[in-house]
Amino acid sequence: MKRAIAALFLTLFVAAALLSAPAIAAEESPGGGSWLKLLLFAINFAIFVYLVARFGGPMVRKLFSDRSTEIRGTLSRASTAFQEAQDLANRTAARLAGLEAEKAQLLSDLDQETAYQVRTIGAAAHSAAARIRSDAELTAAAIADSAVRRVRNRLAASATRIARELISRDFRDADQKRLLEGFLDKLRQEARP
Amino acid sequence: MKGSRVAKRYARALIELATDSKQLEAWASELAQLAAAASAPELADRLATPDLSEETRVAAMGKMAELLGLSFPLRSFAVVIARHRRIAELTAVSEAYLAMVDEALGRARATLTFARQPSDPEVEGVAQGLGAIEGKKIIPTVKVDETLLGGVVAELEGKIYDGSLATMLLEAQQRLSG
Repeated sequence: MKRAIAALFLTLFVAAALLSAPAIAAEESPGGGSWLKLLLFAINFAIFVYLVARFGGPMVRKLFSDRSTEIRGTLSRASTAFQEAQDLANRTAARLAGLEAEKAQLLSDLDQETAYQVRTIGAAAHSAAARIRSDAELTAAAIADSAVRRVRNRLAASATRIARELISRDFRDADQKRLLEGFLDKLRQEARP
Repeated sequence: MKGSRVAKRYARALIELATDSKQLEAWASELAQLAAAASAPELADRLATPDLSEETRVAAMGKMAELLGLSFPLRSFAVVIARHRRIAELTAVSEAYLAMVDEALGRARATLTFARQPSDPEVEGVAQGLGAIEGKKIIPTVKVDETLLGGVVAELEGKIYDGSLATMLLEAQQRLSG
């Protein structure tokens, strides 16, 4: 760094010396010039350069050093921030990938649960329908059986009532005698050992 | 009342005396008369009232037995019953005594219910039929119940022999009803 600065000052010095020479020569009458004046100018310029380098050099070096340090810090922070951003992006991508997998798993679970619920509800509906059908058949059979029984009971009661009326009207001693004979036969059968 | 243990004890005591005296049936009749008189409503209420003294109750029973013309042992029995405050048990004692007499003499009592008034041979025939089953002489009590329509129903020692037309019709109705 120091070498670069020294080379810079040397280049400036040579350039100033070479560029000022034609100007000084132009102010002189043609065909005449003074090498002394040129030397004095050169010495003067060298002193100027020295003073500038002596007193402004550290400030310039410090300025460039600070600036360099600031740029390096900024560069380092930028690099760190970039790295963090990169990590965050990676994590986010991984998280997104995980979310996608979770979403797919959830969708799969939901599909399976839905299919299970559909099967369960279908089975329950089928069972309920079968039970209702069976109950209806049993109820219908019971109602029919009850109706038949009622009709038979009524017919039997009517037949018995008619028979009772007929017997009451036309029951004779001979009938009573036959009944008693039948009764005695039953007693005799029971009396047999 | 017939099965009362107290009544059976009195009946058993009386029957032992009657057996010794050979008065089984005679005392049964007298005991039945005494029980019927003591259980008559107008007399039973007065004999049961607590206002009546024991002497009066005993004297009343003795007088009643005398008026009924009962034999001396039965008059004494009436007094004993009154003294022991068992007048209300007299009917049960009489029934238990009769049952024991029947048992001792190999008899059984049957209630024969006919649909119409039976002739004597009909009653005798049914009684003989029952007697053949039980191996005892049957003493029938005849009743008439027209609702039987025809035939007869006999009740002998808790068993029913039903030969009535009403029951036959009922069985036929049950068979028809299924």
